[in-house]
Amino acid sequence: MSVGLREAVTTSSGTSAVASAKAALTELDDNALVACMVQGDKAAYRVIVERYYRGIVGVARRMGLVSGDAEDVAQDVFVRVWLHREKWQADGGATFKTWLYRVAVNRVIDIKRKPQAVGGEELDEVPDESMSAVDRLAQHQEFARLRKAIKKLSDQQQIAINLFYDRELSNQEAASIMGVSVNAMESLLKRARKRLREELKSI
Amino acid sequence: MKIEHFEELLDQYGWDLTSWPEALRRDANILIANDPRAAELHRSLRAVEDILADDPVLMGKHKAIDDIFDAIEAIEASEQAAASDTAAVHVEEESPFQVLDDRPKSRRHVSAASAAPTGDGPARKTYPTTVSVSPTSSAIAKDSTNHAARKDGTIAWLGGRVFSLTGMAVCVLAGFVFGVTLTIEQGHQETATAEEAQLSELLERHVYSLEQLSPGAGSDVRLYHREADR
Repeated sequence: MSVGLREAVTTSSGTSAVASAKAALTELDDNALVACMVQGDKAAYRVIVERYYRGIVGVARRMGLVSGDAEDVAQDVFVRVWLHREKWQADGGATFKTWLYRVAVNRVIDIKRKPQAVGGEELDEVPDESMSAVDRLAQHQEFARLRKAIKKLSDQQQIAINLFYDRELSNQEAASIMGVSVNAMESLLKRARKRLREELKSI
Repeated sequence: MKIEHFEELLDQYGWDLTSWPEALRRDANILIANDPRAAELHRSLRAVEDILADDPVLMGKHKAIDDIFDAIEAIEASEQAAASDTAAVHVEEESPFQVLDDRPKSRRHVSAASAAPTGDGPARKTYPTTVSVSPTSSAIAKDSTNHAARKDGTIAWLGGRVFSLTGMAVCVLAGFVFGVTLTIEQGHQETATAEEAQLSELLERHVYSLEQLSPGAGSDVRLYHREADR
């Protein structure tokens, strides 16, 4: 076997080993991955980031940040979580997922309180290639109208609405992220829906 | 069921009637079927909730996750560099006195291990390679010898302070006692000198009075002769 061929085989076997290790990590649940992360395993943490990056960006966007800011928040959250990973306590009552989302929600609130926070009307819509131009325009108008109405809700109501309609979160998880009971969350949602309905009528 | 009550229930449970309590669901369905206002309320809330639930999310910029790990690497590298710089500064501060001070120091082995052997100044490597670092906090060293060295250093420092304080107190006390003794001695001497002066003055007066009592003066002849014999 020539040297070049041997190197190619070695490289390909190394690459496949890395891929299989990553696949094995992907199969792990959050608890196992977090345990590895706390020990300083960056490969495990990468799997966590890949699992929740989209959800964190989504929450940040729904809470009124433009895409660039939402991505910055996600990056900031994941960097902070890694640097303070020893603070995570598995028996703290919350799951890692709800803890992560809570960190993200708090970060978004901090950013929105700053004077340079960008208004919801600057939210960018997502082009959907399967829709016609007319449908996309109508959808964009509906989004804009809805975002305008949501922006008039209280902070707590906005967070409740955004978390409740996040498909990746259950009611229990949404309540846990907000640090309230499920009943309190439903009460918040009730008031938010009522207010939203009234605002949509007036827009 | 009245429309106001239906409106409240919509706010409470949402548009999806399957999540409503069983007892209310049938009445709500009847109301939606018979009252156009209820049907419109239900339809509008469903549209809103559909928009909220379907609000698509951008995946973000390309290599966004790589950027997160690049940021983590950069922060960790800068923290390590800062820690190395801090330790190097401590060594540089210590090195000029090593030539002058040959007393044993509790942590001398640390600086000696990391100092450059050529005498060109301290090396950048400042931590002993045998020190293991806590996985949760890089600032916490777990090496037992290092702990022992720190403990010894603390004891030596504390002992030196205590001994120096005691020594100082003893010196002050000795000085005070010496001063008091000296003062008392000086007082005694002054007293003795004063008594001696009084005595000599008395004697002078006595001799003077004897001279006045000379034979010509017709006084005590016997005392005069006795003094003259001396």
